[in-house]
Amino acid sequence: MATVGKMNASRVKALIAGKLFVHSTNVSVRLSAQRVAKTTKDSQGYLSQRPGIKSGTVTIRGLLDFSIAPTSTTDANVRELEGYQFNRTILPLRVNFGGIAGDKYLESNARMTGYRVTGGTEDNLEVEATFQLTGQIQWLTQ
Amino acid sequence: MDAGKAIFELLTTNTTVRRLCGTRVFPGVMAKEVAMPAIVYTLLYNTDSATKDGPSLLDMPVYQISIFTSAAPTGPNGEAPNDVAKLLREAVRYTLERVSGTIAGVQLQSASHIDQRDLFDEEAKAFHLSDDYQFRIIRSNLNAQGFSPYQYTTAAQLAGATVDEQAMKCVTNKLKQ
Repeated sequence: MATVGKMNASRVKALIAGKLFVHSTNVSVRLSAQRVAKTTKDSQGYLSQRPGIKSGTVTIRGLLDFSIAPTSTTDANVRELEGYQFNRTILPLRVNFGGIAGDKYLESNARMTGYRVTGGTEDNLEVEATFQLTGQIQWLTQ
Repeated sequence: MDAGKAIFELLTTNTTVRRLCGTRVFPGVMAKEVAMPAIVYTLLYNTDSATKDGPSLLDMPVYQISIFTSAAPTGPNGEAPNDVAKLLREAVRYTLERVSGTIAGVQLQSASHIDQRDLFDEEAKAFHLSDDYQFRIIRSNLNAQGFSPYQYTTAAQLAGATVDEQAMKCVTNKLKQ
């Protein structure tokens, strides 16, 4: 049974290549669809839109933890991301919304296109990674 | 994790602070008719570092450290009252800033000085020097303090509970002890 009632966003979690991104504080998904502007004999000079490219990005923010070893089979954190940045790897990315049977999740392949580490004085060290989805973006049911 | 315990421990064991105000360090409110100078520490607010994994394992409470000195008496070496207060302020800052380690059972990652004000308490006729410090308190040893869900809550009670709910049950059960 899917999650009942309004969703607690703490349960929205990202999995990179099957590993949970731990210590995340924010996961956001942005999907967009371009439109091609056309005009036809029928539209009499008015805009007539045609579907264009569909795309999406996923941004993950979290607290940095170097103690998560890249060899961990369950957890991912900054050291995983370093590898994806420099290897330009295409990886399977999944975002769980709820995480229990019946809830939706988004799945696609992705490339990491942005990586930022912010370290203020006497503050938590934060990491932000942006993934550009590539190929089909699927909404599936857990 | 109560950073106040660490503050008390640090200030009452520092020799310079002790020379200036003895062990007159109080949580929240000063004892009645106590001699001055004296120090009062008060929690102003706390910022936690909760993640999607679960409750915060690192809190950042901000404490106000108030130094009160009477307008009348002088320091041990005949210093003016306000000078005593300022000496004490520097001693407190020296003691607290960037301190780390396990102090009075509190895992202190760091402390930073973030603000200060000079005030005068008209009613008490006392100088009041107020400084704010932010502490970084590691909470990852909660299990060691007896908050373990497995020690106080049966697995059946925890079945299906979220991490937050589990933590709340542990705290509740701990308080029942």
